[in-house]
Amino acid sequence: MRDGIVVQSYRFARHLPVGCPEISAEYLDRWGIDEIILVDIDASRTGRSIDPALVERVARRCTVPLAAGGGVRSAAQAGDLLKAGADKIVINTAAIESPSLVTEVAQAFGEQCALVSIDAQRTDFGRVVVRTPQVPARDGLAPDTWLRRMQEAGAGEFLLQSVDRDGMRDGLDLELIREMAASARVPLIVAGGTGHPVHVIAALAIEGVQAVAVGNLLSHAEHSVTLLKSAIRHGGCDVRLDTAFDYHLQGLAGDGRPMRLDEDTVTAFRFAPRRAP
Amino acid sequence: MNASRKRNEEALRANFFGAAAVGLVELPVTTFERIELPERDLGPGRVEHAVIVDYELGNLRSVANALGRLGVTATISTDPAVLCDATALILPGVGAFGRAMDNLRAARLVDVLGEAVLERKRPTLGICLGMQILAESSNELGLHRGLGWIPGQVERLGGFTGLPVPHVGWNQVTTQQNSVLFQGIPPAASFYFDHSFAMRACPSAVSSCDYDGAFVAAVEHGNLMAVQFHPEKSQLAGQRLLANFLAFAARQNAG
Repeated sequence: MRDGIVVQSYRFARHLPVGCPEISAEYLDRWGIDEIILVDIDASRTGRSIDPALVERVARRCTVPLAAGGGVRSAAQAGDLLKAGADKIVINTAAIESPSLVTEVAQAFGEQCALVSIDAQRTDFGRVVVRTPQVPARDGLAPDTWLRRMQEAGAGEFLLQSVDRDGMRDGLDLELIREMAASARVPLIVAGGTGHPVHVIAALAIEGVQAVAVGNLLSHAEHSVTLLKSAIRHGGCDVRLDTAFDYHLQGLAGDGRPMRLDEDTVTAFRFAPRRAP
Repeated sequence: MNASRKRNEEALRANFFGAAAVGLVELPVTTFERIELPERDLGPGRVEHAVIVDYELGNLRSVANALGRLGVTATISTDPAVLCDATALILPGVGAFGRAMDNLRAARLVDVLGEAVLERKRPTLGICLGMQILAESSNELGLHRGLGWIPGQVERLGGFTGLPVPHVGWNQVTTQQNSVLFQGIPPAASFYFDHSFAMRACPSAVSSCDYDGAFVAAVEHGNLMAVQFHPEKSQLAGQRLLANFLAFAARQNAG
């Protein structure tokens, strides 16, 4: 989210608007999402933090867990967000500056509330580093070193994002994920690059990966969540799907979208002959 | 994009959906039982107000929101009079067992809750840590005594198959027939869990879950019920469970 608007993200550099977070959350929820992560990606950079009143409006429409973050720098701010209705607090930049923040939040509210977000970027030299505005890529920390340090500090869960794959719809960075999953002793959520159900299935197949977070793909498509989950189930992966509609009787095309009916069938639906009264 | 990776992926997609794409394969037909919310009980004893116990631990707002969605106004309170007269009482909780018991004692809530739950038999639902404190004890960060209203001990999860702890995420529960809480909820329903400790066994258990070994997912003990998962965060299944609890409370209050 930027400026209070949900956005699609491309390599953490370009952003296109989607709409109100309250509406996005409501749609995702009704379509069967498992969990929602709401992050104000501008907050840290501009010295602000995500607005608890906004979190409250979003949380009201969420019947699933909501993780909220963006510029959270103190346990007090974390407390405000939890009171507003968030279930977990996402911490990223502030932890790099002050790792003890994670410990404070974990001790005050429980480890399960402390979700540490790690943005990983590949440098020109092929190394993977933790992307942070303060440190140039050349001098960046290795992501699995950082993950282990945060684990010791009390992080209860991790969100690992690939900056390079973000928005490219070309699949997640499975190599990076495998490395990080090997170091993680707490649940790991991975993100960045989902463009097709097979990408999600491949990521979930890696031992140690608990969940895949999907962004751009879930916008601008009716029933996006339900279709994605239906396709994943069809691919043999057991994800929860208990919405009233689930596409299980409908064929899915190669791109994961419902198969199009042939013209004659569609025409027959639309222009069914009326019976004489 | 790496050329061979692109070829591999295209092959994967073709195999994955290839047959479906030409309409030749029949997708496996799985019957999903629908979860429906029951008609709101508008008879005598119906629950319009519920009380959420505030002992400074727990996602009180989420629970209040969930009750609001079911047409019930929630009051968050520590007032003895309010608790003892509640048509329905919710005991939420997120955090550490020891801290929860300390907070309850500091707010002088142990006796008040005892009267409301054990003497006045107010319909009560414990959630997550709110379920754990009903047990006899827990070994979270030291050995702590619980309220002891439900037989059993709370222990740490994990240590057997190396699954990460806390147990976070959706998981399926196995439920006994004829439970009050799970009426109208399909047998293999999923709920959202987020905990590191749980009761392994309890005579009042009506539902269990498996994460590195079986543990108790829900108990029913007369007017006192409790769930280890978060119904307020479990979409339709959770809403139905809360509705069932409220219907039970309505029957208790009417009869």
